[in-house]
Amino acid sequence: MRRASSLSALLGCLLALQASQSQPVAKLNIVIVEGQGAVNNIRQRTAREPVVQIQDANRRPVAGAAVTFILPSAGPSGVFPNGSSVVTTVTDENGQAAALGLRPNNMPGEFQIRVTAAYRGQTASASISQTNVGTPARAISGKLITVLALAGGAAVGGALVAGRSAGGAGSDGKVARPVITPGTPEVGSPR
Amino acid sequence: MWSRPIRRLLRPVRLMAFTLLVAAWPLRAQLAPVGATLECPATAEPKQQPRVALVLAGPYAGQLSGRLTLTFVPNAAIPSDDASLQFSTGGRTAPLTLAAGSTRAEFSLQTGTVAGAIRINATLEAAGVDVTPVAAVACTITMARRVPAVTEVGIGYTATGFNLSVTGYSTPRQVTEARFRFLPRPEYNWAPIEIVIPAETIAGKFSDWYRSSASAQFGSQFTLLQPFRVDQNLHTVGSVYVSLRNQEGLSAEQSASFP
Repeated sequence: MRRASSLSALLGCLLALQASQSQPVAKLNIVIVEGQGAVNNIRQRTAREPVVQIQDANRRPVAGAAVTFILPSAGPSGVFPNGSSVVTTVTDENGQAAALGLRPNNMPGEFQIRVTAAYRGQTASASISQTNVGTPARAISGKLITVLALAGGAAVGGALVAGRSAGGAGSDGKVARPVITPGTPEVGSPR
Repeated sequence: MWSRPIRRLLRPVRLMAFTLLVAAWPLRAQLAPVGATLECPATAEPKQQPRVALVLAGPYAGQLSGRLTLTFVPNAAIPSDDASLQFSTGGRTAPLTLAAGSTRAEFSLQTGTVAGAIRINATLEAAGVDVTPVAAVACTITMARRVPAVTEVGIGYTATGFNLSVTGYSTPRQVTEARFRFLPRPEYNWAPIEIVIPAETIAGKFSDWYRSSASAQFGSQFTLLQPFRVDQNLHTVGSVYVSLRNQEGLSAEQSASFP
């Protein structure tokens, strides 16, 4: 009798778990765990890596949510290890996701890291404020050259947009900026 | 009965053996051209058709025949022969014929896409006899290491974004970086998105390709397939500019428009 009741309880738990997994998430919340208000040292090329936790409406962590961290493409900013200003990752069993390997660029000032989360049709967004301080080191390493080039390219990009707006052709255009993340490249015979 | 002189002639004859020596070498010396040189440009670029000329110092009395032979010594980070390098008539040897009295014959060859030294040698025959001058009739064309060249960029949509296929070549058989710059469609207004695929990610992929036996027939040519995931607003992406880097520097950009 006791065995039957415990089996019944286990089955009930499994059914409840299955039901909770198949139910749509009512609402997502982004809780900033680390990185808010961080001060990054340009000379040391170190930055506080942002960490967020994604929660549902009941404040329970959501595992498997896609989280995208987006850095400004011009001005004070940084770069992720993939060489991009955008990185996408997935929350762990604690609902947490981190933008590992963030490095500041060489432009001092405050900037916002935009965070978006998506899970079963629900989305949420937040911003993490950080500040770059200091001056670039004199000896520029090869990797830093890459970062500077990226920042320079972004600056040029900003100038292009500014020029277009000044010309009026696209001044009333919609923004709708995409979030593009590179995957693993493959190289083979010419096509 | 016979007179004295006649009797002298009728005396028994003594047989004697003689050896007649005929030297062959003066014949070759007679057939040798006065001189011949091969003229070719000192340098050439990939996928070009430089001309090579065989020039005699003076007219030759008879018809001359022979052949040109092409050899290649690569100067690449990952060396390899290049099957694309050959005479325009095909192959790495080309027959030559010079009519009596003529002093010049021209040929063209197709360069490949690998840096290195292209050496061309000529041999000459007259009436089946080798009359190649003692000094080698040869010239060398150098193909220098250059920045990569992107020849074509293709776009294919996927379930999660799009793939870019980047076709090109890199004469040192090495690529260390790929740069992609995305621009919005005209009706949208966002700053260009620049994505750099660094050496840690991409150099090994190219090294693997250039070390593979399959790549030998293509010289330094390749197609890079780069997938991109787009989480939102894919429809706003209008065009992409692609450039590649090797030790010589960054290539010119090649663009493609999203359909």
